[in-house]
This record gives sequence, C-alpha cells and structure tokens, in this order.
Amino acid sequence: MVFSLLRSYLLIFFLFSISDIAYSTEGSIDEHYLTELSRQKTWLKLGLYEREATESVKYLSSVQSADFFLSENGAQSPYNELLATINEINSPFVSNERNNEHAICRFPARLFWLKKVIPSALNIDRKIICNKYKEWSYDNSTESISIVYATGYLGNPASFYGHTLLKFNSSNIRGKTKLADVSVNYGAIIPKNENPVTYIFKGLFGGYDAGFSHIDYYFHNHNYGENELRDMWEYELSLTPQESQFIVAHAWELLGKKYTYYFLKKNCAYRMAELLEIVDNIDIKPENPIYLIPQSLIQKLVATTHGGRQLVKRVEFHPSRQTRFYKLFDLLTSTEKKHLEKIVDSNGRGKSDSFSLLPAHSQKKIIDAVLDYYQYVLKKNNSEDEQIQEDYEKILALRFTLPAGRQKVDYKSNIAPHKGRSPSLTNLALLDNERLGAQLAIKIRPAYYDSLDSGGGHIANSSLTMVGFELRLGEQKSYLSYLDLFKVESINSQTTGLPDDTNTAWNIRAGFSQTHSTLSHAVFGIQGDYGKSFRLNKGLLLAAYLGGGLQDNKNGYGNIFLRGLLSAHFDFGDAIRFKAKLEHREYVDSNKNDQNIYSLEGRYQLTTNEELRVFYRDDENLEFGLSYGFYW
Amino acid sequence: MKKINKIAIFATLAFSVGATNVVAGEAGSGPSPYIDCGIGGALFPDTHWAAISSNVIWDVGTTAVTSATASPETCNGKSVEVAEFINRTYDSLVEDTAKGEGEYVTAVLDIYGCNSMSQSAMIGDLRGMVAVEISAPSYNDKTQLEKSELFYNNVNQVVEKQDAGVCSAT
Repeated sequence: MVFSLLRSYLLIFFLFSISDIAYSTEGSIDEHYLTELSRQKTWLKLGLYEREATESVKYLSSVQSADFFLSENGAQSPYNELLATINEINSPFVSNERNNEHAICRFPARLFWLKKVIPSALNIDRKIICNKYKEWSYDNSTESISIVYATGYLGNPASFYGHTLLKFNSSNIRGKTKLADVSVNYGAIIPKNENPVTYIFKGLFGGYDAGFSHIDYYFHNHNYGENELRDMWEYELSLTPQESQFIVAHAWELLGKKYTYYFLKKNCAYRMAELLEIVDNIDIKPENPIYLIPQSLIQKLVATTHGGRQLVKRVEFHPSRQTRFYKLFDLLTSTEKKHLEKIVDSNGRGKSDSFSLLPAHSQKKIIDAVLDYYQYVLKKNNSEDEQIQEDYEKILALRFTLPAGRQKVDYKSNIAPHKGRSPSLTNLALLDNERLGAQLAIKIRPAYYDSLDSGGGHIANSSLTMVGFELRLGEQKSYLSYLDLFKVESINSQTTGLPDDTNTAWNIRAGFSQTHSTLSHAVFGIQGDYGKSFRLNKGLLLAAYLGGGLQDNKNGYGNIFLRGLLSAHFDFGDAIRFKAKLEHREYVDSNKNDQNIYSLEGRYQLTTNEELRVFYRDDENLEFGLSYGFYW
Repeated sequence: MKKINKIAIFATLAFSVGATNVVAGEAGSGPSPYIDCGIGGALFPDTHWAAISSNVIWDVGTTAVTSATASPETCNGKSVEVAEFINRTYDSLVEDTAKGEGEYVTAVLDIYGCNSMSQSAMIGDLRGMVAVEISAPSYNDKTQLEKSELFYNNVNQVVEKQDAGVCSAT
C-alpha cells in the first residue's frame, strides 16, 4: 500500500516536473523528454506504430495514408511525428473555412493525450472550432461504447468467423434512439465482381486495402439482422466518460485511412481491439501469433477487468429475422401452426372463419409469425419473388386490423458467444484399425467448429474448418491422415416444413485425405455436395446429398468420383450429440469397385473446453476409437 | 460530412434498387426529399460504396451529392435523415407500425425529436393512416421508394399536427 502510494506520487511528480521542463522559456521543447514521450506506449498506439526488425527502420505505422502523418517521415519516426504534431497543434487559426483541416480537429486523440502529458508545450488558438468533429461525435456526448458481434455468415468467406464493430452510445444523452448511434466498422475494400479464388488469396496475403468507416448503427442492425439473417450480441463496456471519449477521438483520426487487410490476423477483430486498447491497461487482443477469431476477442473481452471492474457491464442479444421467426413458430400451438400453414398455402388469403374465431392474441401470434416467415424466405433466398411479396403485403394489411402490441419473447436459450468454448481444438485419440493395428491419432483444428461441437455464435449442425489435420502414429506406420485446407458443411437445421423454407444443405472441401483407411498416402482433392435436410423432430435431423470430387490418382482411385451421402444428426442437448453417415462412392475413371463407407461419431461435452468422442468407421476396413479433446 | 454521407447512402441505395426515374410526388404532398434532394435521381456515378456486406464496407463520405432544386426546408438534415431511415428500414418500420410499437417506429419519431410521452398516441395516428395506404389496391404496384415516400408523408403529417414543443425538429 505504502509502496503503491509512493509509486503513484513519484509518477505524478515525474509527469508534472517533466512537463514543466519540457517546454522551456525559449519556446523549444526539451528533446530528451520528447524522445521519452515518443517511445511511450500510448503515443506508439496513437500512431499505430509496430516494431520492425530491420536496423534502418525501427518502427513502421500500420496506416498507409500519407494524410495520417504530419511529419514527412512520420510513418517511420514516432519522434518526428510527435514533434510535428505539437508544432501543428500550436499553429494559429487561419480561417473558419479551414478550421476542420487544423491538426486540433484532425487529431483530437493526440491532442487529448498531449494535454495530459505535456500541457505546457501546447499553445492552442481558441478561435479554432472543430465543427465536423463536434457534429460527428455529437459534441462529445458518447456515454459508453459497445462492441457488437455479428455471428458467422456463410454467404461471404470473410464473414465465416463472425464480425465485430463498435457502437458509440450517446442515445440517452441525446434523447434519441440507439439505432441512430454512430457505429464504426473495419473491413477490406473489395473490387466489384472479384472472383472467389483471388478474393481468398488476396484476403490471406495482404492484397487488399482496408479501413474504418462510420455509419448510423441502424444500417448494420438492419443489414445483419434482416438481410443477412445474423444474430448480434452487443457488449457494452464499463469505461469512464474520458476513456470513451478518447476512443471516439482516436476513431475519428482513423476514419478513411488505409491499412492493409489480412483475413487471418489483422482483421476486423484485431483493429477493433487495437482501437479500444488506446486506453491504458486495456489488453484484449487474444494471444495467438497466427490468427484472431472475433469470438476469441469477445471471450477475452468478457474475461477482462479494467479499473477494478469487469470490462463488460451489459450483454444484449439482437435476434435476426430468422431467429425471431423460428422462435415465434416454436411458440405457436399445434392449432395455431395449422392456421399458419393454411395462410401460407393459400397465398396469404387464409383469413378463414375459423381463424376469425380465434382469440385476438392468438391471431396476432400467427400473423406476426407469418410476417417473419415471408421476410425470412425473401431474404434467405435473396429473392424478389412477386408472389411472396404480394402475400406478405396482404398479411401486413391484415396485421393493421388486429390489436396493437406484440408477444414478449424470451431468447435466454440462445447461447452467447462469450459462453461458448474456445475456438481451437486439439484432440488425442486411441484407435484400432483392423489392418494397421493400434494407433494414436493427434488432431489439431485451429478453427472453428464441426457438426458435433457447434455452439454459441456458430451455425448449428454445420461445420467450418480452415487448416485442420490429423497425424496417425501406429505400430506399423505413421502418416498424415488428412489435411483440410478448407472445409464447410452448411445445413439448414431448423426447417419448419413451410414452402420455401428451403432445407438446403451443401458441403465443400479442399485438402489432402486418405482414399482408403488402409492407405497411408493422403492425396490432394476437392469435393462438393449438394442436398436437402429433413428435420424429423427436435433431436433428429436427416440430410441427403449428391456430389463428387476431383483428386490426385496416386493411389489408383482415379481422378474423379461421384457419391451419394446420407447423414443423421442426433441431438440430446448441447452435451451429447451423434452423427451417423453413409457414403456411397463410384470411381469414374478407375477400375476400383464402388465403395460404401459407414461412420458414426459421438461427442460428450465434459466441460466447456473439454470433450470425449467415440467413433467408428467402416470402409471395408474397420476402425474405432475413443478420443479426448481440449479447446484453446 | 455526416450529412453528405447520408444523402449518398440513400441515393446509392435508391440507385441499386433500380429506381432510376425520379419518383412522382403525390398531388398536394408538398416538397419531398425523395424528389427535391436528388434521392432516387441516380445522380451518383462514382461512390466508394463497395458492398453492403459485413466485412466489406467503405466510407461513402468522399462522394458529394448536390441538387440544384433542393430547397433548404426540404433538404434540411432532419428531412433527409428521416427519408433515408425510412427507405433503408422500410419493412421493419412498417411492421412496427402495424404492430403499434417497436424500436424502428420509435426511432423515426426520435429523429424528429418527439417526446416519448406523446409517441404512443402518434404511433396510433400513424398506424391508422398507413393502414389506409396499405389496404389500397395500388399499394402493391408501388416501388420501394414510392412506399417509403408515402410513409414519409404520413409521418410528416402526424408530426406537423402536434402541439408546439412536442417534436423539436419540426
């Protein structure tokens, strides 16, 4: 305690004494102190400086735009940039028209920090008024900041792993809706009609510029929730007003500035974390040198304390149109569901006598579910189907004739992403292979989920893997069993049986795999399947696919195969799930016989980050085993 | 900057939905931001709006939109802000209105600065007016922009008939 007080006193004494001597009576700034300041963490963060390994360049800013720097070599010299910033901030008022171009208006966060550490060096011309910044920041009225997490979206590879953005909350102070709060987003700048291969390659290896943009929050709320059908979780942070305003000011400095985009690491989550970390003692970037998954950021955010409090003070769920529809549908009684089906089947003309006899609250439930259904179908199928639109409008008109008010719905069963497991999996298995004997299998999947362990923030019954592999160490031989470069299994598991509530399922994969469980040489191939899913009840989902693959012919199985797949997903809650699969393959350009592959895999969740699995596979060679997995 | 952004966004949206013709105003509806502020007029040849998808988004702020016909009353910040909001969120907004409550319909009245005490009654009035528009046979044939404009006119009427001080932005 005594030492702590002494340390604080010394620090304050140091800052005050230094700032006094920093700006000498001759008007020049103490060079030594300036050098010290230019090496301080906050200044390096304000300039987005990163350490470089070369002798000639020690620092390099992540920002590529020249107008982010006030010194000619500011991108590489924190010292010169600091000196130039102080000089420019002290430069006099020119004209009202040019006010917004002044350093004070362009770099409010730098000014905020300089006022704190070296106030005596500043000589601000009071005539300078920053109207644009005042308007944008609603006159510094941000009372808190939220980080918003949008769940993964399989319609865009860059969004497979979810997305994060910031919301500057000022609605209470302004007496406005939170939909009009300012939101700040980070993303890559992609040319129109970019082909998928270029898109992935450039996204991985820094081929795109990126940057921060801003827009009213309702734009994102509507776009993610209504158009892309993505659930959102909002995490409101516990920051002081000064800390919030510092972040807002720094965001202003970064708007429109160009960065280089890296999908794996320096992505939206990284830049959002970086922006929040401008505040002292906030350290929320997950420690992973290769990749950063938005969900990991959310998990670290919730686990972080700041100023003696939890950094996250409130979590709010914003369900998508899809989630709202399925929830409303689930809440209907069987009689109400029949009425809903009748309305949909008769193109929105279902207001039968029996419907009119239902109590008003029941009619409202049904009609509200029908409205959600039509919008869900239109958006899901990316359709402008005139018939559906017409049906929707009939029901909308009907809704106006019913009493006002809506049903309160509880979404507590939706698992928030911070409550889910960690994204990366290491799995150790002991197995017996009929011909190759006992084996130890080591499976590593850096990200993200499969049909058995999908949870909070994931798409149920689906899977998403990027660079996952399994090594087999056996009595007879050791080998790479498979290497998934990229694997997506998408299955719509919540189908209601209503028309156009498409139960589409598809798979796509690229990577190395065994052509047979006795062959240790994994060959490269790509596979794809398309099919339909059928939900029999809450615990059982079936899917059937047709597809095929192209592969290397090293093992004599030809270059082309066709296949049919049947799968059954058994769900006994989050803790116990099974998946059974039957695959029939025909080798088109090989004399190998057709092949049937039967498999069964079960998962039991031990803790949030631990699991046990059992598995069985028969491709005319049996193997079965037991595995223990942990997530990190 | 923020205002220009908003106009550009709205305009880009209007352009993207194919509304290349200026929307015809309803007789007697007065000046409309949908017509007089260039909204729906496809005046925006070179925006930096890359895509409206999650991870692919860029600032639209570098594109300026001007309209020689714009009057200060029609194209003031609130008019354009409300018009843009309505067009962007039309489905959610009209559903909220049908249900007589919801964050989108509240948001519109918030933008007009209407006090929360009066909003319930105002939503009731708006509900009655929009119900008439939606049940008209011609409603189905209207474009999204035309529907938005109808809604905009209805909201304006509801706001304008309030006592002084109820809505600060009128």
